[in-house]
Amino acid sequence: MPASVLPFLPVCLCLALVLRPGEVSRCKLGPLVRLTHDGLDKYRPSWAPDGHRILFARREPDGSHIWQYVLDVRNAKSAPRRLTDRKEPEYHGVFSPDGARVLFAAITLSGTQGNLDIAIVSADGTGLKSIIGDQGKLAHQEWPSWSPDGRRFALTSTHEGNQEIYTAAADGTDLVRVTQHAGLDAHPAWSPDGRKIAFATDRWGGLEIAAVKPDGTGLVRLTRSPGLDDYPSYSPDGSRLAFVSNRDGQFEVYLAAADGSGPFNLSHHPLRDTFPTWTPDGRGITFVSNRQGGFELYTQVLEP
Amino acid sequence: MRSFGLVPSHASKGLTRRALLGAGTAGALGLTLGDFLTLSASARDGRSPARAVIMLWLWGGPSHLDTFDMKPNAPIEYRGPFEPIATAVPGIRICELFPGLARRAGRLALLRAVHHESNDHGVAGTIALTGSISGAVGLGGAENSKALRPSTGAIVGRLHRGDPGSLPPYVILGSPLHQGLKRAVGEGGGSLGGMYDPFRLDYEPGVGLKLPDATLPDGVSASRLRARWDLLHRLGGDDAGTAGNTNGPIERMNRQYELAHALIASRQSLTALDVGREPASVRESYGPHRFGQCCLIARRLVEAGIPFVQVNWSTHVEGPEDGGDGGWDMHDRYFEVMQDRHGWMLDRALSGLLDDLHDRGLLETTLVVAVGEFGRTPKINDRAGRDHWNTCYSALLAGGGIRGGQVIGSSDGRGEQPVDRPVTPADLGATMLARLGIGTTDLTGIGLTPSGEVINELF
Repeated sequence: MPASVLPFLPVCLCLALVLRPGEVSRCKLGPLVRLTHDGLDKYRPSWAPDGHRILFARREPDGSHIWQYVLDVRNAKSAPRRLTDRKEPEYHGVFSPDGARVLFAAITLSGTQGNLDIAIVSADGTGLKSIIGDQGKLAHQEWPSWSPDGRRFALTSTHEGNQEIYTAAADGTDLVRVTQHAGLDAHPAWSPDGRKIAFATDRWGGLEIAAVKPDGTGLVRLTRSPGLDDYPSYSPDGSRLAFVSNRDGQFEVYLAAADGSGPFNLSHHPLRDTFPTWTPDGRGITFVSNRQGGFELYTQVLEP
Repeated sequence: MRSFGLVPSHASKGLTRRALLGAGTAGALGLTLGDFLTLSASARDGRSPARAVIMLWLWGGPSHLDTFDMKPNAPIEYRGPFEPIATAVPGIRICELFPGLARRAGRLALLRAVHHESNDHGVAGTIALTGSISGAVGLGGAENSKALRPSTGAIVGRLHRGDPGSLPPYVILGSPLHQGLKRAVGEGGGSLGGMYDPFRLDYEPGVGLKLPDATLPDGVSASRLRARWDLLHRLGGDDAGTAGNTNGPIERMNRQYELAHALIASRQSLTALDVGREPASVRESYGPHRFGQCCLIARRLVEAGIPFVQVNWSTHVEGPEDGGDGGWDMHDRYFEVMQDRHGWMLDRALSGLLDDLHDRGLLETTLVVAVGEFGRTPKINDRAGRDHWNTCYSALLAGGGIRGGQVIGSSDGRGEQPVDRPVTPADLGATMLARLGIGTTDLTGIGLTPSGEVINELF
């Protein structure tokens, strides 16, 4: 390196830090819209494709019940309604791409032994049916995520002795194992183009986000950070990935390119922000936060 | 001068039920309980290093590997997805889910080699709360035939030199503990008698303070209860509650009527315990959930002079997935629940409690203990969870004159067995009692055989 360049090196390094190649342009943030007000714990919000209905699980005040609710956001005064009339816990609900069906993790209790199965129900709450249960031994199935064409879904299952990612046909048949590792794999998110499934894994130490093709090949590591990265969610156009990370010491919603590059802290709040999911139009990220006391749903609007 | 109390203690043997009845109008009783809340704690003998213990009872058994004894170099089947983070004390690292406690590590002492002999929740609960397996009842119903020892809190209640008119000295925030549908034993007076069972309170977000023991049987009105209580009083004589057998059925019934009567009469004044009266910033610092708000109530009780308060994390060991109410017994979904609920709730509530006690000048005289009945299997099971592990687990202590920023004891590379300085629940119980100035002579004086050794390195 010529000595004449050295005086300019600090400036060049600073510019390089500011203009990191591949960094997702930092969106201009619009308003933060609060969607719920009951103060109760909530888990995994999921939008219907119409952008009017949002599904989430809620822990009831007695601490013993977790049920799925649907909220119609068009009427600010409307209260969430139960998705089903089940008495036992249910969560991880997600609308199908056409909005007509919901997959969720349904627990059946035998005494004090709970069993997590995947169930499907029409969006109006009718036609409830368990579609993936134990595969010969007590096992847990959870966190379903639809393929973009609605013909299959990804999920996690422990039926082969470790928590792995699988896919299955929409009726629960044709279970195909996607991941093969002694670590824990969790929270799959199927990309809008159908070519990748992002998920969280501890195979590299700590929780990181990875992506794999639905046939189990082409594993790629997407995040490399101290602390955990979890709950990936692809934007509707597939170009970006939202996820939760505590890399800055607290749980925040991060936004990155779909390849994991250029991550930045979107939510920036000293309290807890988690379970990010995109609005169907891609103009907002909905997440759960306790920034105003109890856990509520918020949508951070992203300006174009 | 009128004097009355809810629980006759050895220091208030002169207190008769007639005196209690004479003073026991609703207004007078309510006034006393209200006054109690405004009084600063009186020094009982001025010699004990601490004046109170708050025990955070993490029912169900937290994993030591995912809290305070992480094993990042263990095989992937053991270490789990969470990573250790540095704390304010060089060399001490704890789980990343506890950033608040990491910042406060200078106040904390960790015991990393606690152990005992049972991995059954019910039996382990009895051991952890009483220091002994005597009288324990397992999930299958098998009982240890020896007499049930009193809990540490009940011993404190028995020996407490309290002010007449104060609330009972042993308070549990939470309902009686259960594993499955079976009630666990070990929270009560044991061989000392039902007179020394805990006084229970609870808190429900959105509802407020609850009085579990004040729930009347169906068909029994408050006026009818009062009439029956008055009749019992006339039949029983003035000293019925303090002499002779304190564990007989009549005495136990008397105790229940007295308690119920007092609670009904004082329901209004007990609203003074409502955490809604605390500044919003203080309430929020503990977290909005039941456990956090109960920790705040515990601080208020200690501030008012109660020497032993236990805060139960849950009633059941199980989470909702297994028919419970969110305990630590997570044989499956362990890491998801830890990340989304248990980790941050404990971090926030305990951090808030330590700060609040410190800010009020109470931390030096209040020993805070956070522990469950055991740890969890170092090897992750086939359902992404951890099972029961009693041979080595961790406890956290703070305040009460302990030397913070230290770790006592260690486990092996996988967290399976103690390597050095193993301690038992009996040792922990002896340490709590010693901090409150209760020694072996006091125990033998009330017919108890001392057990456990004080963990002197803590101080």
